[in-house]
Amino acid sequence: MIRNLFIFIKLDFITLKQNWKLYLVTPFLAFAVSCFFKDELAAIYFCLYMTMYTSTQLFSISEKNKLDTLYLTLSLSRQDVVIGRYLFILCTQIIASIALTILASILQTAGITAFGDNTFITQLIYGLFIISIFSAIQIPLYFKRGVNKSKLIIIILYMLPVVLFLLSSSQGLAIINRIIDSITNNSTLLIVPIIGEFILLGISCAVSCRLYRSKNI
Amino acid sequence: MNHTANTPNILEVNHLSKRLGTFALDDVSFALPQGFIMGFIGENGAGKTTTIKLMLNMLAKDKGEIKIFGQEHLQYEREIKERIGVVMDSPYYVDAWTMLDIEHAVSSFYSKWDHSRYMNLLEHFSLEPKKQLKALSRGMKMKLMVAVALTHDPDLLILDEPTSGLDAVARNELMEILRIFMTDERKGVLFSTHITSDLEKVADYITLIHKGRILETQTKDELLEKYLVVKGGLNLLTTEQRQMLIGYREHSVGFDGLIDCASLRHLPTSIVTEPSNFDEIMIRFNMGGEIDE
Ligand SMILES: Nc1ncnc2c1ncn2[C@@H]1O[C@H](COP(=O)(O)OP(=O)(O)OP(=O)(O)O)[C@@H](O)[C@H]1O
Ligand SMILES: [Mg+2]
Repeated sequence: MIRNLFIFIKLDFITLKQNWKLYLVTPFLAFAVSCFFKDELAAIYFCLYMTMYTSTQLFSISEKNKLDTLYLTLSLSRQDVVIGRYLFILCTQIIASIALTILASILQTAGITAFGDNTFITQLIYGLFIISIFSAIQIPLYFKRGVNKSKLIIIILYMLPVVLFLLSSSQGLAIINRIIDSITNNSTLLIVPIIGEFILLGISCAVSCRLYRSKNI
Repeated sequence: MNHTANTPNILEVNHLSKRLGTFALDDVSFALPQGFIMGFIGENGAGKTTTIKLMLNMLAKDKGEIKIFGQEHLQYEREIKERIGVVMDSPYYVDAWTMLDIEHAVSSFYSKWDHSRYMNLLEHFSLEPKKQLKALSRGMKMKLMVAVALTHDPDLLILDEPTSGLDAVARNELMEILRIFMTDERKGVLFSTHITSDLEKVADYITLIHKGRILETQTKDELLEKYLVVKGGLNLLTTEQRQMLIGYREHSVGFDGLIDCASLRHLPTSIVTEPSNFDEIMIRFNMGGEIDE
């Protein structure tokens, strides 16, 4: 069973094969972005955004080509498909993190950015936590309704933080900033977003399993 | 051909029901013994694909039981599916994949996947391994799916209209492949199709489905013996006798229809009978009792 999950993850990578050019230029784009802003944070969010885009692409390709039918002809249960897909998403996050760590050290040795190591790791972990909130909401939607029918909800979801940011008063922002600063400066608290990500994705995975179980294919 | 009790069923469907919008599959039961090919026929929208999707857990059944290799199909889903080869009526691979990509994607799921067998099948069907799926014609895509379905040496083939889009030569080739496949007595094939001439060549059993219900499920020969086409002059039959005919039709000089042999004795002896075929049986059942001028 575990073996088949790994084979399924491999199948997901093969599904995305047609986008290989994009994935090849991503690190260079991230490099360019961080040079432009003189800031690693830009690279972090750029790469993490790419992992989200990747999972959307994966669902989109699989929907267009009726891959759900393929999955159910293979020795996979529906639950395997869902769990395998979440593991794939974790894989992309791990790959992005490794790429970013390499990138950050290059940037630092080249003297382009001047973050301490500590800050970089902290930013990366919080970045992963934030995108896992988005993933936790969008993946069950993709499993239930597909990418096409979820577009509107996803756009609203992505706009929500921006709107909240614009609506909140400057005083409120200052408080939020202070809270974020105090959390991010305390490295022992880093365990919170790490555990938080796993809890979020775990709950999301359980919801997806339920939704996918009753889907007509 | 000697079917019956001592050969185990490779596929068994009992009292299967499923509602899909206005369509309902109603109390579908049939069984395929090991070592035989079953043709699954019925008009468009009769419920063939629905039945097959239920077997593969692409749809959830409302009621009933499906057993494959003697095991409940959901309880042993992974084990069962590793031993099944499937062809559905439309392709389900990524358009941009080449035939080699398809092999990379699916081969690891099967312990018995055989690369050289895959290459031989592709060559047999004149498919170039480096070609992308989107560059193939409909018939070539069907051939590719058949090749993938056969490469892991499955014990059961579930084919949903595998001959649609295939030319006569390719259909003949496929029938030949099935015949070779069936030389191993532990195997079985469920084969849904519209092209009933294919079945006349290879099928051992026929299951006829009509509007979500099974009308007949028995050996090919029994089915062909059971129904006869009858013909005669316009005033030969009483209204009661007409109602015994399936797909009764009147034309300028007389009538024709299909009759269950068991009812033949109720008809006048002067009536003309002819052997039927699957198309005839399917068409007549679809006409029902309507009278057509
Ligand atoms: N997801 C669905 N929702 C509602 N109705 C459906 C759904 N899928 C199939 N149907 C209906 O179920 C009926 C049976 O369809 P099915 O595909 O099983 O027919 P079929 O025998 O395979 O026909 P064909 O020979 O055309 O392939 C059709 O009337 C179809 O409209
Ligand atoms: Mg069909």
